[in-house]
Amino acid sequence: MTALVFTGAAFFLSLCTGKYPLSLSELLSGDEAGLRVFQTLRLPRTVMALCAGFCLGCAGMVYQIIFQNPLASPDIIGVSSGASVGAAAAILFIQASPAGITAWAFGGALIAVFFALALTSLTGQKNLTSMVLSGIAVNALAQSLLMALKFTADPEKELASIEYWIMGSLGSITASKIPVPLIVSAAGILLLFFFCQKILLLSLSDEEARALGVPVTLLRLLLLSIATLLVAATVSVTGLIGFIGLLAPHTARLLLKTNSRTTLFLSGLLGSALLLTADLIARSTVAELPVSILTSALGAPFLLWILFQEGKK
Amino acid sequence: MKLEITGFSAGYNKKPIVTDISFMLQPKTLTALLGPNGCGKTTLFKGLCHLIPSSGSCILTSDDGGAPYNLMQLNNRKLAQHISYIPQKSSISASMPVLEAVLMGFQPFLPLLSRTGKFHRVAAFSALETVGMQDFAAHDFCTLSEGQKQLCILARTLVQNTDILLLDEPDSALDYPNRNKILNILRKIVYDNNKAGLLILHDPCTALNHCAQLLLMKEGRLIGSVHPDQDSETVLSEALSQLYGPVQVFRQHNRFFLYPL
Repeated sequence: MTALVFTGAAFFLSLCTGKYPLSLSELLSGDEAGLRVFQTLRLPRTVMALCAGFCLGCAGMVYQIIFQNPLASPDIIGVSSGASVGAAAAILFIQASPAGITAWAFGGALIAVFFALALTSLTGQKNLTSMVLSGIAVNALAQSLLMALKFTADPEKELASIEYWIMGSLGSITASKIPVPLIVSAAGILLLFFFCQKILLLSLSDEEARALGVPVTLLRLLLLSIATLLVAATVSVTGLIGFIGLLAPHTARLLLKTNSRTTLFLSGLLGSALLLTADLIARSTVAELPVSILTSALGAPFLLWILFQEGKK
Repeated sequence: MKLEITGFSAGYNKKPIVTDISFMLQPKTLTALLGPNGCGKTTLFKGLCHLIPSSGSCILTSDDGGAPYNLMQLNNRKLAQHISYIPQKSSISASMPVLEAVLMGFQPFLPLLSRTGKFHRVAAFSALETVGMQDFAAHDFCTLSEGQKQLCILARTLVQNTDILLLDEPDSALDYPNRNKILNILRKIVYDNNKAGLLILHDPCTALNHCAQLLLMKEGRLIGSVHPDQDSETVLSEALSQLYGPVQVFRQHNRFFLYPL
Protein backbone atom coordinates (compact mmCIF):
# COMPACT_ATOMS: atom_id res chain seq x y z
CA MET A 1 0.00 0.00 0.00
CA THR A 2 2.78 2.32 0.97
CA ALA A 3 4.77 1.49 -2.13
CA LEU A 4 1.71 2.03 -4.25
CA VAL A 5 1.08 5.50 -2.90
CA PHE A 6 4.76 6.30 -3.06
CA THR A 7 5.00 5.28 -6.70
CA GLY A 8 1.74 6.99 -7.46
CA ALA A 9 2.96 10.26 -6.00
CA ALA A 10 6.28 10.02 -7.79
CA PHE A 11 4.59 9.19 -11.06
CA PHE A 12 2.24 12.05 -10.58
CA LEU A 13 5.13 14.39 -10.07
CA SER A 14 6.94 13.32 -13.20
CA LEU A 15 3.69 13.61 -15.07
CA CYS A 16 3.28 17.15 -13.93
CA THR A 17 6.83 17.96 -14.77
CA GLY A 18 6.46 16.39 -18.16
CA LYS A 19 3.30 18.23 -19.03
CA TYR A 20 5.32 20.91 -20.73
CA PRO A 21 3.68 21.04 -24.09
CA LEU A 22 0.18 20.30 -22.94
CA SER A 23 -1.11 23.64 -21.80
CA LEU A 24 0.21 25.42 -24.80
CA SER A 25 0.25 22.74 -27.40
CA GLU A 26 0.07 25.23 -30.17
CA LEU A 27 3.52 26.40 -29.16
CA LEU A 28 4.96 22.96 -29.68
CA SER A 29 3.93 23.02 -33.28
CA GLY A 30 5.44 26.47 -33.44
CA ASP A 31 9.06 27.44 -33.64
CA GLU A 32 11.86 25.85 -31.69
CA ALA A 33 13.10 29.12 -30.21
CA GLY A 34 9.70 29.77 -28.70
CA LEU A 35 9.69 26.37 -27.13
CA ARG A 36 13.05 26.96 -25.57
CA VAL A 37 11.85 30.24 -24.12
CA PHE A 38 8.97 28.47 -22.53
CA GLN A 39 11.26 25.82 -21.18
CA THR A 40 13.06 28.54 -19.33
CA LEU A 41 9.80 29.71 -17.85
CA ARG A 42 7.99 26.41 -17.43
CA LEU A 43 10.89 24.47 -16.07
CA PRO A 44 11.82 26.88 -13.27
CA ARG A 45 8.20 27.18 -12.35
CA THR A 46 7.71 23.44 -12.11
CA VAL A 47 10.93 22.98 -10.22
CA MET A 48 9.90 25.69 -7.78
CA ALA A 49 6.53 24.05 -7.28
CA LEU A 50 8.24 20.75 -6.58
CA CYS A 51 10.66 22.36 -4.15
CA ALA A 52 8.14 24.60 -2.41
CA GLY A 53 5.63 21.80 -1.98
CA PHE A 54 8.27 19.51 -0.55
CA CYS A 55 9.49 22.17 1.90
CA LEU A 56 6.02 22.97 3.12
CA GLY A 57 5.13 19.32 3.49
CA CYS A 58 8.24 18.51 5.52
CA ALA A 59 8.15 21.66 7.60
CA GLY A 60 4.47 21.07 8.35
CA MET A 61 5.20 17.64 9.76
CA VAL A 62 8.02 18.96 11.91
CA TYR A 63 5.79 21.72 13.30
CA GLN A 64 3.04 19.23 14.12
CA ILE A 65 5.40 17.00 16.06
CA ILE A 66 7.20 19.82 17.89
CA PHE A 67 3.99 21.52 18.94
CA GLN A 68 2.36 18.16 19.70
CA ASN A 69 -0.65 19.48 17.87
CA PRO A 70 -2.10 17.97 14.70
CA LEU A 71 -3.49 21.38 13.80
CA ALA A 72 -0.13 23.10 13.89
CA SER A 73 1.05 24.57 10.63
CA PRO A 74 3.95 26.88 9.82
CA ASP A 75 1.70 29.84 10.64
CA ILE A 76 1.63 28.97 14.31
CA ILE A 77 4.63 31.10 15.23
CA GLY A 78 4.12 33.82 12.71
CA VAL A 79 6.14 32.92 9.61
CA SER A 80 3.37 33.68 7.16
CA SER A 81 2.09 36.83 8.79
CA GLY A 82 5.61 38.14 9.20
CA ALA A 83 6.32 37.50 5.55
CA SER A 84 3.08 39.26 4.56
CA VAL A 85 4.01 42.34 6.56
CA GLY A 86 7.48 42.36 5.01
CA ALA A 87 6.07 42.07 1.51
CA ALA A 88 3.43 44.73 2.11
CA ALA A 89 6.01 47.12 3.51
CA ALA A 90 8.24 46.52 0.51
CA ILE A 91 5.41 47.24 -1.93
CA LEU A 92 4.35 50.37 -0.08
CA PHE A 93 7.54 52.02 1.00
CA ILE A 94 10.15 51.22 -1.54
CA GLN A 95 8.06 50.20 -4.56
CA ALA A 96 10.26 47.18 -4.66
CA SER A 97 10.99 44.91 -7.52
CA PRO A 98 9.98 41.27 -7.08
CA ALA A 99 13.44 40.52 -5.78
CA GLY A 100 13.10 43.28 -3.23
CA ILE A 101 9.73 41.99 -2.11
CA THR A 102 11.26 38.56 -1.67
CA ALA A 103 14.05 39.91 0.47
CA TRP A 104 11.73 41.98 2.64
CA ALA A 105 9.29 39.10 3.01
CA PHE A 106 12.09 36.80 4.10
CA GLY A 107 13.27 39.40 6.57
CA GLY A 108 9.76 39.93 7.86
CA ALA A 109 9.25 36.21 8.40
CA LEU A 110 12.50 35.82 10.32
CA ILE A 111 11.85 38.89 12.46
CA ALA A 112 8.40 37.62 13.37
CA VAL A 113 9.69 34.22 14.43
CA PHE A 114 12.62 35.74 16.29
CA PHE A 115 10.15 37.95 18.12
CA ALA A 116 7.97 34.97 19.02
CA LEU A 117 10.93 32.97 20.32
CA ALA A 118 12.31 35.96 22.21
CA LEU A 119 8.94 36.50 23.86
CA THR A 120 8.92 32.87 24.91
CA SER A 121 12.24 33.08 26.69
CA LEU A 122 11.34 36.41 28.24
CA THR A 123 8.37 34.86 29.99
CA GLY A 124 10.80 32.55 31.73
CA GLN A 125 8.70 29.51 31.00
CA LYS A 126 10.26 27.84 28.04
CA ASN A 127 7.51 25.32 27.49
CA LEU A 128 5.23 24.64 24.57
CA THR A 129 2.27 26.61 25.83
CA SER A 130 4.22 29.80 26.17
CA MET A 131 5.61 29.28 22.67
CA VAL A 132 2.16 28.91 21.21
CA LEU A 133 0.91 31.94 23.10
CA SER A 134 3.86 34.01 21.90
CA GLY A 135 3.08 32.87 18.37
CA ILE A 136 -0.52 33.96 18.77
CA ALA A 137 0.61 37.34 20.07
CA VAL A 138 3.05 37.85 17.20
CA ASN A 139 0.45 36.75 14.65
CA ALA A 140 -2.05 39.24 16.07
CA LEU A 141 0.50 42.05 16.00
CA ALA A 142 1.52 41.22 12.46
CA GLN A 143 -2.08 41.05 11.29
CA SER A 144 -2.89 44.44 12.75
CA LEU A 145 0.27 45.87 11.22
CA LEU A 146 -0.71 44.36 7.89
CA MET A 147 -4.18 45.83 8.10
CA ALA A 148 -2.71 49.22 8.88
CA LEU A 149 -0.44 48.94 5.85
CA LYS A 150 -3.31 47.87 3.62
CA PHE A 151 -5.35 50.79 4.88
CA THR A 152 -2.73 53.30 3.84
CA ALA A 153 -2.13 51.58 0.53
CA ASP A 154 -3.35 52.99 -2.74
CA PRO A 155 -6.44 50.93 -3.60
CA GLU A 156 -5.77 51.03 -7.33
CA LYS A 157 -2.33 49.53 -7.52
CA GLU A 158 -0.59 48.90 -4.22
CA LEU A 159 -3.43 47.21 -2.38
CA ALA A 160 -4.02 44.88 -5.30
CA SER A 161 -0.31 44.01 -5.38
CA ILE A 162 -0.33 43.21 -1.68
CA GLU A 163 -3.43 41.05 -1.86
CA TYR A 164 -2.17 39.24 -4.91
CA TRP A 165 1.13 38.51 -3.22
CA ILE A 166 -0.62 37.16 -0.15
CA MET A 167 -2.68 34.80 -2.25
CA GLY A 168 0.48 33.23 -3.57
CA SER A 169 1.47 32.48 -7.12
CA LEU A 170 4.13 30.67 -9.02
CA GLY A 171 3.52 32.75 -12.11
CA SER A 172 6.46 35.07 -11.74
CA ILE A 173 9.11 32.41 -11.20
CA THR A 174 11.98 32.67 -13.64
CA ALA A 175 15.27 30.82 -13.81
CA SER A 176 17.11 33.54 -11.94
CA LYS A 177 14.90 33.16 -8.92
CA ILE A 178 15.54 29.47 -8.48
CA PRO A 179 19.09 28.99 -7.19
CA VAL A 180 18.89 30.66 -3.76
CA PRO A 181 15.63 29.11 -2.53
CA LEU A 182 16.64 25.78 -4.00
CA ILE A 183 19.95 25.70 -2.16
CA VAL A 184 18.47 26.88 1.13
CA SER A 185 15.63 24.36 0.82
CA ALA A 186 17.91 21.48 -0.04
CA ALA A 187 20.13 22.25 2.95
CA GLY A 188 17.16 22.59 5.27
CA ILE A 189 15.51 19.40 4.07
CA LEU A 190 18.71 17.41 4.43
CA LEU A 191 19.13 18.71 7.97
CA LEU A 192 15.58 17.75 8.88
CA PHE A 193 16.10 14.24 7.61
CA PHE A 194 19.34 14.01 9.53
CA PHE A 195 17.63 15.06 12.75
CA CYS A 196 14.51 12.96 12.21
CA GLN A 197 15.08 10.76 15.26
CA LYS A 198 15.64 13.81 17.46
CA ILE A 199 12.45 15.40 16.17
CA LEU A 200 10.48 12.45 17.53
CA LEU A 201 12.00 13.02 20.96
CA LEU A 202 10.10 16.28 21.14
CA SER A 203 6.84 14.34 21.11
CA LEU A 204 7.51 13.55 24.76
CA SER A 205 6.53 15.87 27.57
CA ASP A 206 9.29 18.27 28.62
CA GLU A 207 9.79 16.36 31.85
CA GLU A 208 10.09 12.95 30.35
CA ALA A 209 12.45 14.25 27.67
CA ARG A 210 14.66 16.01 30.21
CA ALA A 211 14.74 12.87 32.32
CA LEU A 212 16.25 11.20 29.25
CA GLY A 213 18.88 13.90 29.11
CA VAL A 214 17.45 15.55 26.01
CA PRO A 215 18.24 19.28 25.81
CA VAL A 216 14.64 20.13 25.11
CA THR A 217 14.82 23.90 24.72
CA LEU A 218 17.91 23.81 22.55
CA LEU A 219 16.59 21.05 20.32
CA ARG A 220 13.24 22.73 19.91
CA LEU A 221 14.93 25.99 18.96
CA LEU A 222 17.25 24.28 16.51
CA LEU A 223 14.55 22.30 14.74
CA LEU A 224 12.10 25.17 14.67
CA SER A 225 14.76 27.38 13.13
CA ILE A 226 15.46 24.91 10.36
CA ALA A 227 11.79 24.35 9.60
CA THR A 228 11.08 28.07 9.74
CA LEU A 229 13.96 28.81 7.39
CA LEU A 230 12.49 26.35 4.92
CA VAL A 231 9.08 27.95 5.06
CA ALA A 232 10.42 31.50 4.98
CA ALA A 233 12.61 30.76 1.98
CA THR A 234 9.68 29.24 0.14
CA VAL A 235 7.03 31.75 1.06
CA SER A 236 9.14 34.81 0.38
CA VAL A 237 9.48 33.77 -3.26
CA THR A 238 6.03 32.40 -3.93
CA GLY A 239 3.80 34.36 -1.57
CA LEU A 240 1.63 32.56 0.95
CA ILE A 241 0.56 29.09 -0.02
CA GLY A 242 -1.94 27.76 2.39
CA PHE A 243 -3.06 24.35 3.47
CA ILE A 244 -0.11 22.29 2.26
CA GLY A 245 1.76 22.51 5.54
CA LEU A 246 -1.35 21.26 7.32
CA LEU A 247 -2.63 18.72 4.84
CA ALA A 248 0.43 16.87 3.58
CA PRO A 249 1.67 15.59 6.98
CA HIS A 250 -1.81 14.46 7.99
CA THR A 251 -2.27 12.53 4.79
CA ALA A 252 1.17 10.98 5.06
CA ARG A 253 0.45 9.88 8.63
CA LEU A 254 -2.96 8.59 7.66
CA LEU A 255 -1.40 6.42 5.00
CA LEU A 256 1.64 5.18 6.87
CA LYS A 257 0.15 5.22 10.37
CA THR A 258 3.42 6.15 11.95
CA ASN A 259 6.02 8.90 12.16
CA SER A 260 9.35 8.06 10.61
CA ARG A 261 11.79 9.21 7.96
CA THR A 262 9.55 7.63 5.35
CA THR A 263 6.60 9.60 6.64
CA LEU A 264 8.63 12.80 6.44
CA PHE A 265 9.56 11.99 2.88
CA LEU A 266 6.02 11.10 1.91
CA SER A 267 4.79 14.29 3.51
CA GLY A 268 7.18 16.29 1.35
CA LEU A 269 6.23 14.30 -1.73
CA LEU A 270 2.52 14.81 -1.16
CA GLY A 271 3.16 18.52 -0.66
CA SER A 272 4.92 18.65 -4.00
CA ALA A 273 2.17 16.67 -5.70
CA LEU A 274 -0.52 18.95 -4.36
CA LEU A 275 1.28 22.13 -5.28
CA LEU A 276 2.14 20.91 -8.77
CA THR A 277 -1.47 20.00 -9.44
CA ALA A 278 -2.71 23.26 -8.03
CA ASP A 279 -0.25 25.23 -10.10
CA LEU A 280 -1.11 23.30 -13.23
CA ILE A 281 -4.75 24.19 -12.90
CA ALA A 282 -3.90 27.73 -11.86
CA ARG A 283 -2.09 28.46 -15.08
CA SER A 284 -4.45 26.57 -17.32
CA THR A 285 -7.54 28.63 -16.71
CA VAL A 286 -8.29 31.87 -18.46
CA ALA A 287 -6.48 34.14 -16.00
CA GLU A 288 -3.46 33.28 -13.91
CA LEU A 289 -5.11 32.20 -10.68
CA PRO A 290 -3.38 32.54 -7.33
CA VAL A 291 -2.33 29.13 -6.25
CA SER A 292 -3.67 29.17 -2.69
CA ILE A 293 -7.23 29.08 -3.99
CA LEU A 294 -6.49 25.77 -5.55
CA THR A 295 -4.39 24.18 -2.82
CA SER A 296 -7.33 24.46 -0.46
CA ALA A 297 -9.89 23.56 -3.10
CA LEU A 298 -7.98 20.45 -4.11
CA GLY A 299 -6.55 19.54 -0.76
CA ALA A 300 -9.74 19.32 1.25
CA PRO A 301 -11.56 16.83 -1.03
CA PHE A 302 -8.37 14.79 -1.30
CA LEU A 303 -8.12 14.50 2.47
CA LEU A 304 -11.78 13.54 2.66
CA TRP A 305 -11.23 10.89 0.01
CA ILE A 306 -8.32 9.42 1.94
CA LEU A 307 -10.35 9.40 5.16
CA PHE A 308 -13.15 7.67 3.30
CA GLN A 309 -10.78 5.02 2.01
CA GLU A 310 -9.37 4.41 5.46
CA GLY A 311 -12.82 4.22 6.98
CA LYS A 312 -13.85 1.54 4.56
CA LYS A 313 -11.16 -0.85 5.69
CA MET B 1 27.07 0.26 44.09
CA LYS B 2 25.11 2.36 46.52
CA LEU B 3 23.24 5.62 46.62
CA GLU B 4 23.35 7.90 49.64
CA ILE B 5 20.91 10.74 49.94
CA THR B 6 21.37 13.23 52.77
CA GLY B 7 19.37 16.31 53.66
CA PHE B 8 17.60 16.40 50.34
CA SER B 9 14.96 19.06 49.71
CA ALA B 10 12.98 19.86 46.59
CA GLY B 11 10.10 22.09 45.61
CA TYR B 12 8.67 24.62 43.20
CA ASN B 13 9.09 28.38 43.51
CA LYS B 14 11.57 28.40 46.40
CA LYS B 15 9.13 26.69 48.76
CA PRO B 16 10.32 23.17 49.47
CA ILE B 17 7.65 20.51 49.32
CA VAL B 18 9.93 17.78 50.57
CA THR B 19 12.45 18.65 53.27
CA ASP B 20 15.48 17.02 54.77
CA ILE B 21 15.11 13.58 53.22
CA SER B 22 17.86 11.09 53.99
CA PHE B 23 18.04 7.45 52.99
CA MET B 24 20.24 4.86 51.32
CA LEU B 25 19.63 2.52 48.43
CA GLN B 26 21.41 -0.80 48.38
CA PRO B 27 22.14 -2.75 45.21
CA LYS B 28 20.17 -5.77 44.05
CA THR B 29 17.08 -4.56 45.94
CA LEU B 30 13.86 -2.68 45.45
CA THR B 31 12.91 0.05 47.89
CA ALA B 32 9.33 1.20 48.23
CA LEU B 33 8.29 4.79 48.89
CA LEU B 34 4.96 4.82 50.65
CA GLY B 35 2.83 7.74 51.71
CA PRO B 36 -0.57 9.38 51.35
CA ASN B 37 -1.51 11.37 48.25
CA GLY B 38 0.15 14.74 48.08
CA CYS B 39 2.91 14.02 50.55
CA GLY B 40 5.60 14.74 48.01
CA LYS B 41 6.67 11.38 46.59
CA THR B 42 6.59 12.44 42.94
CA THR B 43 8.17 15.76 43.92
CA LEU B 44 11.05 13.85 45.46
CA PHE B 45 11.54 11.92 42.21
CA LYS B 46 11.45 15.05 40.12
CA GLY B 47 13.94 16.69 42.46
CA LEU B 48 16.30 13.73 42.18
CA CYS B 49 16.14 14.03 38.39
CA HIS B 50 16.80 17.79 38.46
CA LEU B 51 13.42 18.50 36.91
CA ILE B 52 12.63 20.93 39.74
CA PRO B 53 14.91 22.99 41.98
CA SER B 54 16.48 20.87 44.71
CA SER B 55 19.26 20.89 47.24
CA GLY B 56 21.09 18.44 49.43
CA SER B 57 23.58 15.68 48.95
CA CYS B 58 23.22 12.81 46.54
CA ILE B 59 26.26 10.56 46.28
CA LEU B 60 26.32 7.57 43.96
CA THR B 61 29.10 5.04 44.31
CA SER B 62 29.15 3.05 41.11
CA ASP B 63 30.62 -0.37 40.45
CA ASP B 64 33.00 0.94 37.83
CA GLY B 65 35.60 1.55 40.49
CA GLY B 66 35.79 5.28 39.84
CA ALA B 67 35.22 8.11 42.28
CA PRO B 68 31.73 8.53 43.69
CA TYR B 69 29.48 10.81 41.64
CA ASN B 70 27.93 13.83 43.25
CA LEU B 71 24.66 13.71 41.38
CA MET B 72 23.69 17.24 42.34
CA GLN B 73 26.51 18.62 40.23
CA LEU B 74 25.73 16.76 37.03
CA ASN B 75 23.79 18.23 34.12
CA ASN B 76 20.59 16.55 32.94
CA ARG B 77 22.32 14.45 30.34
CA LYS B 78 25.00 13.04 32.60
CA LEU B 79 22.44 12.52 35.34
CA ALA B 80 20.28 10.50 32.93
CA GLN B 81 23.21 8.10 32.56
CA HIS B 82 22.93 7.24 36.24
CA ILE B 83 19.29 7.70 37.18
CA SER B 84 16.32 6.77 35.04
CA TYR B 85 12.81 7.98 35.72
CA ILE B 86 9.70 6.12 34.70
CA PRO B 87 6.64 8.35 35.08
CA GLN B 88 3.21 7.03 35.85
CA LYS B 89 2.08 7.44 32.28
CA SER B 90 4.23 7.83 29.23
CA SER B 91 3.71 11.10 27.45
CA ILE B 92 4.56 10.00 23.92
CA SER B 93 2.16 11.99 21.77
CA ALA B 94 3.11 10.94 18.24
CA SER B 95 2.62 7.53 16.66
CA MET B 96 5.83 5.60 16.39
CA PRO B 97 6.89 1.96 16.44
CA VAL B 98 7.49 0.45 19.88
CA LEU B 99 11.12 -0.22 19.02
CA GLU B 100 11.62 3.48 18.26
CA ALA B 101 10.17 4.35 21.67
CA VAL B 102 12.56 1.90 23.32
CA LEU B 103 15.51 3.33 21.37
CA MET B 104 14.91 6.64 23.13
CA GLY B 105 16.61 5.09 26.12
CA PHE B 106 19.96 5.53 24.40
CA GLN B 107 19.61 9.32 24.25
CA PRO B 108 21.66 10.07 27.39
CA PHE B 109 24.61 8.44 25.69
CA LEU B 110 24.19 9.94 22.24
CA PRO B 111 25.56 13.36 21.43
CA LEU B 112 23.21 15.79 19.70
CA LEU B 113 24.46 14.99 16.24
CA SER B 114 24.33 11.22 16.27
CA ARG B 115 21.68 8.55 15.72
CA THR B 116 21.14 5.03 16.93
CA GLY B 117 22.48 2.20 14.79
CA LYS B 118 22.13 -1.53 14.27
CA PHE B 119 23.81 -2.34 17.57
CA HIS B 120 21.28 -0.20 19.44
CA ARG B 121 18.35 -1.82 17.67
CA VAL B 122 19.55 -5.28 18.67
CA ALA B 123 19.93 -4.18 22.29
CA ALA B 124 16.50 -2.56 22.24
CA PHE B 125 14.93 -5.73 20.89
CA SER B 126 16.48 -7.87 23.57
CA ALA B 127 15.20 -5.42 26.19
CA LEU B 128 11.73 -5.97 24.77
CA GLU B 129 12.30 -9.72 25.10
CA THR B 130 13.14 -9.29 28.79
CA VAL B 131 9.76 -7.68 29.42
CA GLY B 132 7.96 -10.03 27.07
CA MET B 133 6.93 -7.44 24.49
CA GLN B 134 9.12 -8.53 21.59
CA ASP B 135 6.12 -9.37 19.39
CA PHE B 136 5.03 -5.76 19.54
CA ALA B 137 8.28 -4.25 18.32
CA ALA B 138 6.79 -2.96 15.07
CA HIS B 139 3.41 -1.98 16.53
CA ASP B 140 2.41 1.63 16.99
CA PHE B 141 3.16 2.61 20.58
CA CYS B 142 0.02 4.70 20.89
CA THR B 143 -2.25 1.73 20.15
CA LEU B 144 -1.02 -0.32 23.09
CA SER B 145 -2.88 -0.66 26.38
CA GLU B 146 -1.56 1.25 29.40
CA GLY B 147 -0.05 -1.87 30.86
CA GLN B 148 1.71 -2.74 27.63
CA LYS B 149 3.02 0.82 27.39
CA GLN B 150 4.40 0.49 30.93
CA LEU B 151 6.28 -2.64 29.92
CA CYS B 152 7.72 -0.89 26.85
CA ILE B 153 8.86 2.06 28.94
CA LEU B 154 10.44 -0.43 31.30
CA ALA B 155 12.30 -1.83 28.29
CA ARG B 156 13.44 1.70 27.50
CA THR B 157 14.79 2.01 31.03
CA LEU B 158 16.66 -1.26 30.62
CA VAL B 159 18.29 0.13 27.53
CA GLN B 160 19.23 3.27 29.44
CA ASN B 161 21.10 0.93 31.76
CA THR B 162 21.34 3.19 34.78
CA ASP B 163 22.38 2.13 38.27
CA ILE B 164 19.31 3.69 39.81
CA LEU B 165 15.73 3.27 38.63
CA LEU B 166 12.99 5.58 39.86
CA LEU B 167 9.54 4.22 39.13
CA ASP B 168 6.39 6.20 39.80
CA GLU B 169 3.57 3.74 40.54
CA PRO B 170 4.66 1.14 37.99
CA ASP B 171 1.77 -1.12 38.84
CA SER B 172 -1.17 1.26 39.07
CA ALA B 173 -2.19 1.02 35.41
CA LEU B 174 -1.90 -2.75 35.33
CA ASP B 175 -4.43 -5.48 35.88
CA TYR B 176 -4.03 -7.82 38.84
CA PRO B 177 -1.85 -10.56 37.33
CA ASN B 178 0.34 -8.04 35.52
CA ARG B 179 1.07 -6.17 38.73
CA ASN B 180 2.82 -9.16 40.15
CA LYS B 181 4.49 -9.82 36.84
CA ILE B 182 6.03 -6.37 36.49
CA LEU B 183 7.30 -6.36 40.06
CA ASN B 184 8.88 -9.75 39.58
CA ILE B 185 10.51 -8.51 36.39
CA LEU B 186 11.80 -5.46 38.24
CA ARG B 187 13.17 -7.54 41.08
CA LYS B 188 14.98 -9.80 38.65
CA ILE B 189 16.40 -6.85 36.70
CA VAL B 190 17.86 -5.12 39.75
CA TYR B 191 19.16 -8.37 41.15
CA ASP B 192 20.81 -9.64 37.97
CA ASN B 193 22.34 -6.29 37.05
CA ASN B 194 23.35 -4.99 40.44
CA LYS B 195 21.03 -2.00 40.24
CA ALA B 196 18.76 -0.38 42.80
CA GLY B 197 15.13 0.53 42.30
CA LEU B 198 13.04 3.07 44.18
CA LEU B 199 9.32 2.58 43.61
CA ILE B 200 6.36 4.71 44.56
CA LEU B 201 3.68 2.24 45.50
CA HIS B 202 0.22 2.66 46.89
CA ASP B 203 -0.39 -0.83 48.10
CA PRO B 204 1.60 -1.60 51.25
CA CYS B 205 1.05 -5.32 50.69
CA THR B 206 2.84 -5.21 47.34
CA ALA B 207 5.61 -3.22 48.98
CA LEU B 208 6.03 -5.74 51.78
CA ASN B 209 6.21 -8.65 49.40
CA HIS B 210 8.61 -7.30 46.83
CA CYS B 211 10.78 -4.70 48.51
CA ALA B 212 13.67 -5.06 50.88
CA GLN B 213 13.16 -1.59 52.36
CA LEU B 214 10.06 0.52 52.85
CA LEU B 215 10.43 4.30 53.24
CA LEU B 216 7.48 5.97 54.88
CA MET B 217 6.74 9.54 53.90
CA LYS B 218 4.29 12.01 55.32
CA GLU B 219 3.89 15.73 54.62
CA GLY B 220 7.18 16.04 52.85
CA ARG B 221 9.30 14.23 55.40
CA LEU B 222 10.48 10.69 55.95
CA ILE B 223 8.92 9.45 59.16
CA GLY B 224 10.54 6.08 59.20
CA SER B 225 11.82 3.06 57.34
CA VAL B 226 11.34 -0.67 57.80
CA HIS B 227 12.89 -3.81 56.40
CA PRO B 228 10.36 -6.64 55.93
CA ASP B 229 12.91 -9.45 56.01
CA GLN B 230 14.51 -8.22 59.25
CA ASP B 231 11.81 -6.52 61.31
CA SER B 232 9.16 -8.32 63.29
CA GLU B 233 5.47 -8.22 62.47
CA THR B 234 4.90 -5.87 65.41
CA VAL B 235 7.47 -3.35 64.22
CA LEU B 236 6.05 -3.48 60.68
CA SER B 237 2.47 -3.05 61.91
CA GLU B 238 3.39 -0.10 64.11
CA ALA B 239 5.32 1.64 61.36
CA LEU B 240 2.63 1.19 58.72
CA SER B 241 -0.06 2.27 61.17
CA GLN B 242 1.55 5.70 61.21
CA LEU B 243 0.57 6.06 57.58
CA TYR B 244 -2.55 4.00 57.13
CA GLY B 245 -4.27 4.06 60.48
CA PRO B 246 -4.36 0.92 62.63
CA VAL B 247 -3.29 -2.02 60.51
CA GLN B 248 -1.97 -5.46 61.27
CA VAL B 249 0.77 -7.13 59.31
CA PHE B 250 1.25 -10.87 59.51
CA ARG B 251 3.34 -13.38 57.73
CA GLN B 252 2.13 -16.68 56.41
CA HIS B 253 3.50 -19.11 53.82
CA ASN B 254 6.51 -16.82 53.56
CA ARG B 255 4.37 -13.96 52.25
CA PHE B 256 3.05 -10.85 53.93
CA PHE B 257 -0.58 -9.96 54.43
CA LEU B 258 -2.00 -6.77 55.79
CA TYR B 259 -5.46 -5.82 56.91
CA PRO B 260 -6.95 -2.74 58.56
CA LEU B 261 -7.98 -3.11 62.17
